[in-house]
Amino acid sequence: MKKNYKSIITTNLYLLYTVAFASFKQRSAYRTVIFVSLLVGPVALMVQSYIWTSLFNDQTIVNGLTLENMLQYYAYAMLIKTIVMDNLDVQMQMSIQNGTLFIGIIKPISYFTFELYKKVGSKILQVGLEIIPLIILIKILFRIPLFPAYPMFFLISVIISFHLIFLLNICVGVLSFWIIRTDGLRRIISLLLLVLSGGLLPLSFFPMFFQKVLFFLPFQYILYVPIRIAIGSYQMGDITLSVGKVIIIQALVLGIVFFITRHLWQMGLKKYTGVGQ
Amino acid sequence: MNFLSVYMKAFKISLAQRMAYRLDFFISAIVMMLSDFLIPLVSLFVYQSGVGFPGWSFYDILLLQSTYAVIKGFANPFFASAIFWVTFRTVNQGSFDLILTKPRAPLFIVILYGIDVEDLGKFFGSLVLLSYSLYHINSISIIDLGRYFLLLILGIMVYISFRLIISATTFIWIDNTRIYTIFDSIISLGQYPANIYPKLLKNIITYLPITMLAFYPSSSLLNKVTDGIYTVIFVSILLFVFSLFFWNYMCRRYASAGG
Repeated sequence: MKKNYKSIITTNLYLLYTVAFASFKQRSAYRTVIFVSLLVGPVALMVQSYIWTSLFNDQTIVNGLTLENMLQYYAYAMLIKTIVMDNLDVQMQMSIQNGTLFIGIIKPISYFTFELYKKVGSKILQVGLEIIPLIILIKILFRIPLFPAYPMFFLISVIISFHLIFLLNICVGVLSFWIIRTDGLRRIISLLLLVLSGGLLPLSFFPMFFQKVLFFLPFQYILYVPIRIAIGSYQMGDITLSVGKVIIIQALVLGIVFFITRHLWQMGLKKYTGVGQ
Repeated sequence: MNFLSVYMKAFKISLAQRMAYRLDFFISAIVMMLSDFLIPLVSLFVYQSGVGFPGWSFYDILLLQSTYAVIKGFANPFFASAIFWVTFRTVNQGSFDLILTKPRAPLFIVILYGIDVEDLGKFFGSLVLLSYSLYHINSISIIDLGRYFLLLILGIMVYISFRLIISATTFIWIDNTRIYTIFDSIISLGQYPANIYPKLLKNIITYLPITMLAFYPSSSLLNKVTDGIYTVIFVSILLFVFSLFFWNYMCRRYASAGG
């Protein structure tokens, strides 16, 4: 039995290495795309820094955040977005529509695992070529402290967020089994993701009622939670939780989303004919 | 057929094509409309938190941001999206030759090919925002409004000029979507009051003239300080003329090789 576990782990590690490396190589063909974000990121952060410096004016704390916290917030948001976001929903929509999804299904590796390993590979490249230089640039240009208050908890939270967005995107992509064109629906979900995950503004700025509702939705666990853990405190509406407790809730949400995704995927596969449209 | 009737025909065809998937079209258009409300929504939450841009009330900021949205909302579906994306796609595939064979000016054909009816949602959304902010601004005379709309037209021309210049670079650089991304983040400086930026940056965006995309039209309507406006108007017109010339000049350097 022990030997079996060992062999499963070894096989999976080998698969991870092979798929991730292939994805790494594929992605590295578009290095300029990555390098340009080294310009776009600091410009976006520069805009935020002028906006918030002007807004804070003579105030020191707004909604529990200092000016430095705000700039940290946007810097972390930019970095976490780069690490966790993917476009699997678009890929799935296209492959379901043109009938090529079956290529992914008949492979001797689960479709989800294959796509997850691909994402890992491309993100490793992004961390090396984009995230680390961005952190250095932010540090030099803006002098924003970017060392998380709880490094281990932050890392765990980002890993959960990485999987959460992966599963949510599968949920959106899977809808193509039932709906011919999902562009509109995808746009709604992207919009919701941007606003409700705290990517546009810290959720503590939202009206109290919204904050209470948002606590029960999965969106805040993608960006807002990891950022607040990095800053060192979690507050949402009138709820203040310790960092450890927030991570447990985040992991629970991941479990629920996983269950829903699996269920949707199995339902969709029953409907799939591979003919395309 | 004159330009307008050809354009109207192309618009109808584009609408009919997209209407093949009606539900998706309406959802997309509504989402586009809602996305226009995002930045003003952020401003609302920020102002409700007790902070704000010095010298600008919430409705002043709403006017500024809806002006920016109207300019983009009008320019993109009718001209600007097409100018960039059709040029990019056809030059990249090497199929721009087909455009050159048509019996009209290449730029006009590019615009016809890329009318983006879905983006109209943004235009209507921005009009709603603009009407709401105008309703909350006290004592606007007809002259103020006339001046505002003239500056709005100039803003649209400036926005189209930027798209023309960036798309013109496609003829040599082929894959220039990254320049587009960088430039988009630079012009986003225009949706906030110019006086929040340091002097050097303020001067750069004034004479670039990104400030014509929102700051000058809304400041003139709100009777705020509009120093140097005549210079900016002159620069805007000059930029438009230059961008047309530049696009046509670069078009002649098209090599048909694709990318």
